[in-house]
Amino acid sequence: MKVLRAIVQFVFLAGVITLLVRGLMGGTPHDCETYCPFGGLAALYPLARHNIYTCRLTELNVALLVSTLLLGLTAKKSFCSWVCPFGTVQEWLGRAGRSMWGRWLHLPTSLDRYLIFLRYVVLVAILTLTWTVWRGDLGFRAYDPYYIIFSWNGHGTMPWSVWVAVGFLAAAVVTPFFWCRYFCPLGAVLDPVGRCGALRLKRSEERCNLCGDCDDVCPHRIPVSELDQVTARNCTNCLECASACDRDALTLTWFGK
Amino acid sequence: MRNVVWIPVLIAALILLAFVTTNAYRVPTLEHRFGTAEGETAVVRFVVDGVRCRGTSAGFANMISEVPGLVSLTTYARTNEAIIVYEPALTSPDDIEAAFSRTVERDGVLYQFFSAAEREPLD
Repeated sequence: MKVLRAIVQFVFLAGVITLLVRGLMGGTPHDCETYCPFGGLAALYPLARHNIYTCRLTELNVALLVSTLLLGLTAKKSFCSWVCPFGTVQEWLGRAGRSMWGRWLHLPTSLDRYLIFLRYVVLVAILTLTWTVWRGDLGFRAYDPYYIIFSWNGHGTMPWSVWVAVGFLAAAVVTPFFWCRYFCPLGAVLDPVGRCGALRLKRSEERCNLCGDCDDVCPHRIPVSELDQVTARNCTNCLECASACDRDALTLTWFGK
Repeated sequence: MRNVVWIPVLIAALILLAFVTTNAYRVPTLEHRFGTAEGETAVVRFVVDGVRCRGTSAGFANMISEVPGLVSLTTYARTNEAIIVYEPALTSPDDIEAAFSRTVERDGVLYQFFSAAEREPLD
């Protein structure tokens, strides 16, 4: 499981790095933004209202957004843990932090409970600003660590943008998936579709001895051992819990059957 | 855990679907009208290095705006295409290409913002 996911993650990360290198060498006009599904969402309002794409957005962004939503409906938020290159970077940094601290370090529950809704605020703010104040320009580039890193501080970023990216990367070492958990607007979009995703983990009551290993390894703080099926909105089907289970009590099922 | 295989299969299939369907609903990045045709018109399609967003499309339109006999410009950022309707009696694809390929001086530095990678007549 882990190897298969690592291979898929590597393919997408290598793809986006290839785009970056080719772009820096002047070989392609396409970059990480060309293939970003969130761009499809930013494009929707001007597309519906004026039948135009703004900035660098194209029909490919919209098509990839639709595909990402369909993936959410079928395989929950697998996009986050299998596809997203920035998710992969966050995961690796989180693992580095975990090996340093010996466990996942999480923000206190009292704080996390409220911060987890921040990504919805980010989503609304980005779309509102893009569609009004920025008049279709992708003004959030300067704050978007995915774009800042994989475009190498490209067009639309500011001199300080690199520090925004460094800040989010450093935070990921201390708190796993810091950007994804608290700020990612695409994650916020995928929350409701991911919740009803068809491919989900099911826990066998007969096999499970409630050891709690699955809870400990989950980077998204999901209490897997207390659930019959994992339908939590934060579950990205990374399958860390299933890998950690010695008794094979967790299986990936269609609709929990 | 054989169902795990479904995840990469779904990812590959849905990405393929996105690329296949992308050409089915192409929307221009920029549609610009220069004037009304008074005579016979022709269409030429350029693939232009430099046309990659709405802003650069507007810059491209500005570069060719002085060419006489242009009717309209439609750009597609994803494919870097510029499709130009013109009056062959007044201008030619060579003139149009020369207009957008010219260097521009900014603060004492010469820039070439656009260059044609491909050119083909349509119709």
